[in-house]
Amino acid sequence: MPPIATVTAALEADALWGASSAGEHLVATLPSDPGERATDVFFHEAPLSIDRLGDAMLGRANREDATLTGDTAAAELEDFAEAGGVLVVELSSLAVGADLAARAGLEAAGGVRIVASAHAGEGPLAPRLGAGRAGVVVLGPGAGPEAREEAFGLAARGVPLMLDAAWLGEAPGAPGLHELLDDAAAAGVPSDRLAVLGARSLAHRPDALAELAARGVYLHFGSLGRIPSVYTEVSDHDVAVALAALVEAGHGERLLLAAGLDRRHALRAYGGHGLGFLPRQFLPYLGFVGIGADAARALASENLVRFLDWSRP
Amino acid sequence: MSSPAAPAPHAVVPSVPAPAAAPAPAGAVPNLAGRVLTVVGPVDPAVLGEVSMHEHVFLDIVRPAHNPRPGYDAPAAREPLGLHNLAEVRAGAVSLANDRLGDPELMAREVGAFRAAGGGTLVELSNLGLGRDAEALRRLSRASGLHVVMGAGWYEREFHPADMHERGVEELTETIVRDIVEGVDGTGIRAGIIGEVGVDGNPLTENELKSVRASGRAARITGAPISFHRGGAGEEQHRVLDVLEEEGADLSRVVMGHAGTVGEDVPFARRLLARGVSVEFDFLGTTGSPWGTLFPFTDRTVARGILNLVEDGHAERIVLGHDVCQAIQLAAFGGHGYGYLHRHFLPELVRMGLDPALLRTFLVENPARLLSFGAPRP
Repeated sequence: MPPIATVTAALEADALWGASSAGEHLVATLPSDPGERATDVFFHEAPLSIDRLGDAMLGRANREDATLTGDTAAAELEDFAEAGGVLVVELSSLAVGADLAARAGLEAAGGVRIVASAHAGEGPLAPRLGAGRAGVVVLGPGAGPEAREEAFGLAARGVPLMLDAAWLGEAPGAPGLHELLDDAAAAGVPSDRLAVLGARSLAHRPDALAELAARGVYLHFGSLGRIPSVYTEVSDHDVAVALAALVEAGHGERLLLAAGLDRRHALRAYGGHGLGFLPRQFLPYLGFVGIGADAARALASENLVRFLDWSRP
Repeated sequence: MSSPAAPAPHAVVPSVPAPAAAPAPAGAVPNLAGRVLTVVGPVDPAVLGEVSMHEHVFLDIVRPAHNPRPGYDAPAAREPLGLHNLAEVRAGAVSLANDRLGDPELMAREVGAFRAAGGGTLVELSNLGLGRDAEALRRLSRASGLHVVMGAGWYEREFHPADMHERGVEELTETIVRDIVEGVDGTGIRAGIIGEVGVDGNPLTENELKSVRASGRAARITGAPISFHRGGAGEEQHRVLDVLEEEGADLSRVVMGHAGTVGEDVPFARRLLARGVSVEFDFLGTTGSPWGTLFPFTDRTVARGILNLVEDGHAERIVLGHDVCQAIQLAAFGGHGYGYLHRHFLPELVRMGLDPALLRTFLVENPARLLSFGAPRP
């Protein structure tokens, strides 16, 4: 069977060369809490009109902003395809309304291939994996020991496993990230079956990034293309510089990129840079920080396809 | 955002100017020493309240017909600004709608956010070639209660008049002095600052240096302050300041705008500030630009730089502004508008470690000193 499972089919790797994104929400209802102040509640329930985008971009909660539908996804994927996009990994869990049928419809309509994720702790993983279903597993600290054991078992047999960004923070009662990686190794999981989400947060800590990269895991840099503000602690420039250092150190084949769309205000139809930011703006910018064309191509496409390939030993 | 020891509410803008606010007779340069010249006349700097030192409210930054920006003729450039093209325009697509701020009702609502957040004065730096609209500014000032200081002089080289190379320094100087002493475009409404004087440099051009020299000479003659768009690239700024000094300008009334990341290079900043000038951090809160949004620095970088300069002892030389100059920066078009400083940038700067008492320094004390005229020296 071809080694990469999309929401409609199993594909060979060479069918997926082109711009890609390693982690998005396409159809989801994401958490959104306005708090208790009357004006915030009003803003939350109001339509996401253009004059509300500014506040939404700076973190003011809005229900419509947090609701991504088939229509919003279709428009975004169409633009991504125009920019040369061919592949997206969809990270939405069942908890936020992941809709496999909707995703299959999006792939069939738009031409951009979608690899869905199955989240550990939301039921047995194995039945949810494969062509026409999910092609990658996501493991967060909230998954129990049994779910973790199942995820490791699948990864040991070649299924790509993404480790939620929450592992990078303090997870009370749960092992830290390096302990988790030790557990995975002990369970026979090859390091190249693992990707650590949220590596962007370590952009100012090159030693921590280097330490993780040295373990042979993939490092996933998301949230690319967000319009910055005074609240932006890690800019896309910071990420580009961190990537350049990792490429220089020989880890260029273990780096994954994503726009990390999780709000309408980040979509092109709502003024955001969308998925197209990756091929249109970020990849050219990598040249400015010294990343060569071959390394950039790996970042844009080859690395993700290699990671998603179940046939990797 | 008001500092903990909030200043007294600034005096409202009078709806009818006092006789003393009338412009001086032609040829006579009034002595406005110690006063700030607003669009309704001279005021005591104590009434300014919190000041944004670099704004545009009524602006036409569409390049002139003799030097158009490529792309203006394309159908897409003539589309109104909306969700359908917001992403492209934020990323740098040419848009005539984006390059013009001219709707009086819309702009009144937009600057209302600054007023509501505690702002008292706008320094409006749309000068010659940028659609300067003195009467609209005066109406806005009276209606909103905001003090407005209007600009004079010339912007960037791309906006210089077609015959700039034929104009001498004396002619340019006379134009600036007339705008300050007699008023702009026959309205009698006077400019209260020379700026934003557009000097990009890299390299400095003959016309830029003429504009600088005329600005310096006019500043000496009238006592007016000067605000630069950049003022040159890197070490060129010292050459520009040399020219001002040659013309007798008081560098303690000079603002180097678009200071950007100067706080990241403290040794350079020290040498620049040693000349007596102040630095202005602006273009804050923008959601797009002709060059997109992907840059080596962000507003947070700027904030860190401000903290560096404060630590190095330069708090009295720092001023701020949004530099709203595109429709995409307006709240109506998805931007953060004229309230961003108070609602977001300054509170975050305090969370990053700024002494809250310095907010008054940046917003009230430094601008009051900078905007106050010196004695004229014809």
